[in-house]
Amino acid sequence: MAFRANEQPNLPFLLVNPPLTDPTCPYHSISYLLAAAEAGGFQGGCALDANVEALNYLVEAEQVAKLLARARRCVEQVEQKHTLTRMDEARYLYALKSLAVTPDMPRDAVDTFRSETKFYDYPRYRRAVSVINNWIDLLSLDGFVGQFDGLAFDYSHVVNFSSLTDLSNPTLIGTLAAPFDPYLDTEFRARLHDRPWRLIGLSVNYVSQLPLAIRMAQIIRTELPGVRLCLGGTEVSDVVKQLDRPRDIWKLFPMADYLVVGEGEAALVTLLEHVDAAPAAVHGTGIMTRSALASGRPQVAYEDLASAGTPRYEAWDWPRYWSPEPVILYSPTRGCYWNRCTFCDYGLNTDSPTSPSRERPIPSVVTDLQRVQAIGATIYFAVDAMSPRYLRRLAAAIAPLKLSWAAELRLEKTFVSGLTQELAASGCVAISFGYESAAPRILELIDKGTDTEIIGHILGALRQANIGAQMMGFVGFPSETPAEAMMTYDFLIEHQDSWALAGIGDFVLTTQSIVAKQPSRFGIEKLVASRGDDIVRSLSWVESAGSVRRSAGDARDEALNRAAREISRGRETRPFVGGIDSSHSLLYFKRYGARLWPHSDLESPADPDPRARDVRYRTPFASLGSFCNGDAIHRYVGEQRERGESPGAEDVLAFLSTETTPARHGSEIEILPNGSYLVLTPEILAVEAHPSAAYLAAKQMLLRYQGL
Amino acid sequence: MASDNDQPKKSGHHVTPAILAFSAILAAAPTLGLADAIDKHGGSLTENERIVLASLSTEEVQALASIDTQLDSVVAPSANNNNNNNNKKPA
Repeated sequence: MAFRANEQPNLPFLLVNPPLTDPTCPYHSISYLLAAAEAGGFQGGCALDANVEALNYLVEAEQVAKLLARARRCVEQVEQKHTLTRMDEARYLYALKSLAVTPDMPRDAVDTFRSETKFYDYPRYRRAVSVINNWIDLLSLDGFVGQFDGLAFDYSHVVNFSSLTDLSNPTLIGTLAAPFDPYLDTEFRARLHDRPWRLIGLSVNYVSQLPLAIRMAQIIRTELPGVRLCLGGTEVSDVVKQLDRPRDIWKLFPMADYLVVGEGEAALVTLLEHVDAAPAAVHGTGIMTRSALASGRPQVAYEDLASAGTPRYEAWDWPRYWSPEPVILYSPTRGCYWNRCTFCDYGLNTDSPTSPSRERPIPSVVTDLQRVQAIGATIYFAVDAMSPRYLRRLAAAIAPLKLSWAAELRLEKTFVSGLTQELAASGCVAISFGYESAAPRILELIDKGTDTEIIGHILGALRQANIGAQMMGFVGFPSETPAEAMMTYDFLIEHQDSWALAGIGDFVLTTQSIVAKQPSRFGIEKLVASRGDDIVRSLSWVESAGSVRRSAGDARDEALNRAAREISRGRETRPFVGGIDSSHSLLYFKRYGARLWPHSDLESPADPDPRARDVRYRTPFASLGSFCNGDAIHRYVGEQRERGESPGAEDVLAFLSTETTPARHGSEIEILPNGSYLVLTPEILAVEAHPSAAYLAAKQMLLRYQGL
Repeated sequence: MASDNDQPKKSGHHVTPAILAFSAILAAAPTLGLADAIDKHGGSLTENERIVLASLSTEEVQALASIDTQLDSVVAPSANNNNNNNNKKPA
């Protein structure tokens, strides 16, 4: 018989955030879940951010030293082989990166992110980002070489993240997760035994967390056969939504007792109340059990924000994060009050673009944020949207709290009628906008409810209020012409003094968007899923105007690529400074104002930090430029997808097993701190044989300005 | 004085105009001569940086131009920050 909730208030349960995702601040889902559990009478919950803990473990000098030793052995082994495979070539290029790294460099880079002074020294900060990106590439030598794209998995690599065959293959998952084994085999396993956990939940919110969530679930089941194991989060919900047969998700998580789709607060309380019951006997909105193999889609719960408790941010060990001060994610609203955009497929529901709009009462928000002040003073409002009416009341209410905040909002004309000044007075330092397109016809098709004239005025009002604007849009919407795509860039170029960051991506057509549900409205004759994708994350389409099959990225031509370079600012992207809505960008907006970056290096509090060393190396190979690298793998995967075939790991590994015999008359290279290399041509070598002081100084400046 | 439109565009990177200035000088030096290239494109450089560049030999300018060209490909600017077309937000 199940216990009643109040009969075991200290029931121990653990909620885990798996790698690989942003280590600069904790994702907020677990804070909300712990609050709901507490309100339900369960106070024995603990949080484990296995993402930041794993990265912190792996970044320590002892671990890095072992990694570097493995990398250098790899260099030697490849050099001794007569015939190389493409995989050998890629491993060699990645292993060479180790020569620019010393064991303490990655940990020092993380220290830079945590330091109040070093963090805001932009040249130094950029060098730290370079080191971390190099280090994460090196970590991939323990998995599929090149499997990471910064602090995320690369989805156009060996393993197909949309293939049930690949994702349910323990060997492939084990290889993807292998770089994290030193943490999983020690600290993580130990944590599983430090209390008699009755329930463990994995909060999986990004595709990039999927491999480690699967691997950690396997470990949990092995170590704790009797524990109730649950997985939830937006990625779990998305996979259920994107599978033809939702029950197939159990192929990914055969070791789990429950899966939760949709918002998880009520579901968690139900699971805790019935922790002693057989899983098959547990029912609740959003809860999936293996025994209930209904073919229909599970019902999704929508929480009542008025009655929710204050998120439990105290659960996190804040100094562990890669940031000089806490950045707290908080959600005063959920869903979108507009909820009409035809491209949008964002929520956990399937009957409208995103979740229904709900607002937490302003007095409750103020109470929450007053409690948050004990932890930090920088907030990212993690919302889909906030209505102007709500935003105005929120700004007035929180102004006395002296917080700094940012959010993603809709472009509403009320911004030009004084709202920007009110937002600035309440501590707003940056706003991101889905501006989507500057082509009137496309905006109409999207049903965005904005026009470029008003957007220009809004950007001007934001600049006057010293609020940083981050502009997001896309090209390649169905039926969009090249001229219309160019308008989206031209608008940004025309208003380039009024925004700090802009990102124009490729339109991705998803299955539950209005475009996919009513294709003929958008000139689409046929929707096509790639063969090999069981989880249909995107669709290609054939337009009625022609027989051309289109998919994400097809709209790009040289003119658009040139325009894209013109609006690119900064070399780094999320989770670092320069990434839209990243916590690091938020802190830079707070420090340096609406333009985000210091006006010059002199403005940042630089200290005398010598550039990281560059290392010369003589490789026996004549031309590393012909070696297979990450770009070659992307090209192979991309070409297959253009043919409508989404390759699986078996295909990509076959491609990588092709043998080559590279020429071996040697070449001299210089390996840079970000792991890339310069080919030292005879002309460069001649100059560097007896360099002048001016040359050395100029070269140092050149590299330093590139963030190296 | 050169207008902004005369500046060769590398990435539109507004943070460190010195990158653009360096590249422009290195690219223009073979045709304009180093001194004129610095005069034309070096407006955003510090006096010390201008002095350093002015001291370079022709071979050194060529070597640095080669390095600069290679850096364009090894330090690619972030091209796609978009998070609104159905991709998840960071929060």
